[in-house]
Amino acid sequence: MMHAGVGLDMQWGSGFVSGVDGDRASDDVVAFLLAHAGRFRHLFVSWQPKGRQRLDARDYFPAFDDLFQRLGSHYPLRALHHTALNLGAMEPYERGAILDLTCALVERYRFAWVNEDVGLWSLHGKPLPYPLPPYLTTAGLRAAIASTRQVQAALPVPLLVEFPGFSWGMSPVVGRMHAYDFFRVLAEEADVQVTLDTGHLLSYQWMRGLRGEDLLSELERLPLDRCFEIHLSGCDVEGEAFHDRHHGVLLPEQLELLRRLMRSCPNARACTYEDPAVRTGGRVTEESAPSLTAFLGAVAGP
Amino acid sequence: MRIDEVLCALVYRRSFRERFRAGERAELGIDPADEADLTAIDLDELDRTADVTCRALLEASHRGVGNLRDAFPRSIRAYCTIRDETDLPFDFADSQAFAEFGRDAPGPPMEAVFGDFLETALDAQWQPVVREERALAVLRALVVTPTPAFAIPDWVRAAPAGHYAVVRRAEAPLLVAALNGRLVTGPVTPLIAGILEGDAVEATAVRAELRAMGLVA
Repeated sequence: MMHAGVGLDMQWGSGFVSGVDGDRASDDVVAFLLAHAGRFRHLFVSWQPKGRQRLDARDYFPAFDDLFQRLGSHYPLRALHHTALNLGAMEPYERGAILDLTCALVERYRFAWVNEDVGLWSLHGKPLPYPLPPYLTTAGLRAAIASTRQVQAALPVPLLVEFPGFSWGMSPVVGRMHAYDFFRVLAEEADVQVTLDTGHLLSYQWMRGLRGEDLLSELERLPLDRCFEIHLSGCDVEGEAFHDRHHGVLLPEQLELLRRLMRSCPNARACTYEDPAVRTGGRVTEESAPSLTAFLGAVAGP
Repeated sequence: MRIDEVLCALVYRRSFRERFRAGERAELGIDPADEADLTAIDLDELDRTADVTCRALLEASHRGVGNLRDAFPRSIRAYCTIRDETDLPFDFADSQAFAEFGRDAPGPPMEAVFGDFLETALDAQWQPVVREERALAVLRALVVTPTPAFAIPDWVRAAPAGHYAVVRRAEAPLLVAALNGRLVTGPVTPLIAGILEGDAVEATAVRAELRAMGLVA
């Protein structure tokens, strides 16, 4: 049985806000979630660093507490989308403090899983505005497998590795391994479940020059039986550029890919509309409203 | 160079990218065994990635400080008298100061690294301006992050109520301090600057005043 859910990137200053009375979830986000509570069963929130303090889970409790207290018993299934595990890194990457913080959040909020795109979220300690694809090389695959095993061993809940994005402008791909094969071997060797993001999959095939029906090809190379979650976030094509915009507007190809994955992934249980375009009062933009409806219809099935 | 070091240099260092594009692989220290994997890189896509990434270094906002353009307005105006403003993100990303950023954890904050870059790039006459803006940026960061994940630069001194720096300049020395969650800044006398920098001078009344502010023990 597939359930619909929603995922929110809780940036500080928009998703979470700080005021004189402390940290809390934005009223618009909470209004959106309450208005759609009957349509979605699960919710994931993306972890974003609050600032440059030494990592301490207690700094995050007030905002997360506020969000989940205001949601009450809605969204009984909750998860955490990570942004700092850096599973694709080949250089030494210290994860001790971030894993301690993650475990504290998982325990306090009973997150059912943690996921993160397999990519480069920083390069040798230097910041990146968007994650880069992993090294599609034998050594890159070995490093990703080792990091995934390390993180999974440290977490009390399943780690779902997510197929990375290959959007125009942030995808200098190193290595010639097919990314679907890289991802399948990673999942098998690290023995983890996976998240398949429709925009990320399409962006890879688009980058390879495929168009039309070919964009949906080669799905059998993916670890379909390990897929637990499917993501859909707003994407856009501009000339020859594929953009993973997270603006709530889905491409028809994403919905078609969702239908095919739902048929092909026997263990998929969660289908997530990622980063709805929430505006004042919790309403979604007029531009994205049809996509939300189409998403819910596709998950419900014929 | 390992292949991950090559990618890092390709993304941040314009000079490295240009030599890579010109085929100077051996001169750059690239392992011939990595050649096939590196030729998979779409060089136009690499340029786009580097462009977005380097610009983001100056545009990314930090809580309590803003972005580097906000924090260093006078220094950047001075830089623009010797270089085109569009070069600034790429010059910074290609600098020795930035090369050190992230190498050790914890390392200095980005504001300190950018100040170090500007101090090297600009004439000595601009040194006090750069140091003043650098001190304001780093101490502002310490106001909102009193126990930071970054390393506090050695020109910032610990105080009972927080941290401070003294900036020497042609006019009166400038005190910049993060004390009890507030930014305190203003000109001070040479005597006070000396005491704050560790001079062993008698000045009982002044020391008592500084102690009351939480600047000295």
